[in-house]
Amino acid sequence: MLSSLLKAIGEIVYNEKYSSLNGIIQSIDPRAKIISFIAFIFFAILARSILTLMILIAITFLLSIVSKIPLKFFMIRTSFILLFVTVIALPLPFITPGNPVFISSFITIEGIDKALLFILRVWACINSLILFTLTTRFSSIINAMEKTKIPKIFTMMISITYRFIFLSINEAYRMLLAKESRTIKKESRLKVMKSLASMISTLFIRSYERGERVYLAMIARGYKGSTRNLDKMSIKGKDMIFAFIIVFICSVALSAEYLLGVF
Amino acid sequence: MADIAIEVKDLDYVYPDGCLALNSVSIKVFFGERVAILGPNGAGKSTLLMLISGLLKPSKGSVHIFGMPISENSYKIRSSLGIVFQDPDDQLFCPTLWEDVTFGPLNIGLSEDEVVKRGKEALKSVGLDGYEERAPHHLSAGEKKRAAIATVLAMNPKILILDEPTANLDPKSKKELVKIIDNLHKSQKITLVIATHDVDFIPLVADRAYILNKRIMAEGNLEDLFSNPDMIRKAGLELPNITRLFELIEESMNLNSIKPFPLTVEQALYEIKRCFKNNLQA
Repeated sequence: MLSSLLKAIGEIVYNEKYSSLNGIIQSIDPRAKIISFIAFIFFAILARSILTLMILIAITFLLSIVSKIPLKFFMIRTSFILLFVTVIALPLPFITPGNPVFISSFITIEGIDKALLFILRVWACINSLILFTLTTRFSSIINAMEKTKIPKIFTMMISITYRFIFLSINEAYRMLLAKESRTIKKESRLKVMKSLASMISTLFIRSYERGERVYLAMIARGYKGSTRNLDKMSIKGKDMIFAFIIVFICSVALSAEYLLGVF
Repeated sequence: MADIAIEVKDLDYVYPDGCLALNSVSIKVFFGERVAILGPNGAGKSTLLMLISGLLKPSKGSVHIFGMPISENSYKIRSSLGIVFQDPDDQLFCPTLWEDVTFGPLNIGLSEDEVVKRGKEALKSVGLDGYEERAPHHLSAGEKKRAAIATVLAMNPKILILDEPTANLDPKSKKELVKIIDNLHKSQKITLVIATHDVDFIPLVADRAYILNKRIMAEGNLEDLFSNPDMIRKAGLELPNITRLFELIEESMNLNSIKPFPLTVEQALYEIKRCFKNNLQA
């Protein structure tokens, strides 16, 4: 059971099926994507009405359709995180002061409003982030981060982490299989926990040792604490237009909410 | 002594836990040579290679590369000395193969055009052109090995050090590896140091060998070394299969003049043909 869970995580983290499709978002320069999605999240945080947030969420679904990501797959991916968000938002209707709802005196209208806003806001942000990671190859994300002046040491840490998560998952998977192959009868919870704990510590030691070896391999190829990289990306008119449209739609929705009080 | 590429003198290495890994090891490798370091598991082969490439510091003794002590010139020497680790996963740490291949050249401070040229050449020389955008975790074991070699070749090393190059490889990948190593040696006159316990593989890629088991047990041409089976077995190794066959023939037929034993299939074929011809004439 545990081993299949690990495999599933590996597949989720390393799914590059949709980033190589020729959808609209896939063809946009990663830097333009980073900027527009950051702007998008910024607007989602500022939005204060449910309708504005609904519009933002609708935009993300629209974008997922034009980038050829199956809607069902996209929904499953995001709803998994929404589950946790809902749990966090659950107490809000009870603890927010305001007018009570007619069914119960404990729940307030303001509270329900607050909880809904919270869930929708997180949903919009998560949708845009998942859309970004699904439509962009990981190497391009890293490359774009470097180009947007994020410190090299930071991007390098992310890229190495990403690379070795895969190996760690595989290593953990092999250890679990090895353990399962030697388990011949049902074990007590406590025993399973114990063996899992020792497996995790072994995994830590192995990763530490691998870290040392990788560092030596870097040193052997002339690593001195900083690296350069080759410039491969170019921002075209199309990318600017994409970023502009996203920012424009979001700001129109938001200013309608703030200035005119439309929603 | 300009033609000495690697000179190791009286090298001792003690592990942090106090256990002696290498005991007064001395090695000399000349330019353009193909030298093997043969030894069983735990003989200290990998440690010796790390010491030669300056990644570890010896407890005693010295390592000179091109006549320069490595302890003082490690950065300068590293650009002309490439080491391929046993586990290619240690060596491929970038999101794509292209970034891995260009990592070294970029670090030496070459111009971008030169980096691109070298990266392309390195991938081509291991037969991985067109794999630039592939992620390392999507490669097979054989491809990973070749990719790891490419990342080192991109630095244009004069000395190539390989640690257990045949580990985890299937027969086909092994064959390809032999071809790549052969090509490198023939076209670029690259100096090769190969550590392995794969005795069937080593006659295909090396001429001379050091037998290592914590200390140097023997040194010499492969033919001479493998003609002394007792010493080879004492060091914890075994003869190549072909050589073992000829040893058995010699024993069971009470012959005493077929040494040096052939080491490869080609040499054995030649020897057998010669025998048949002599028989026909007699």
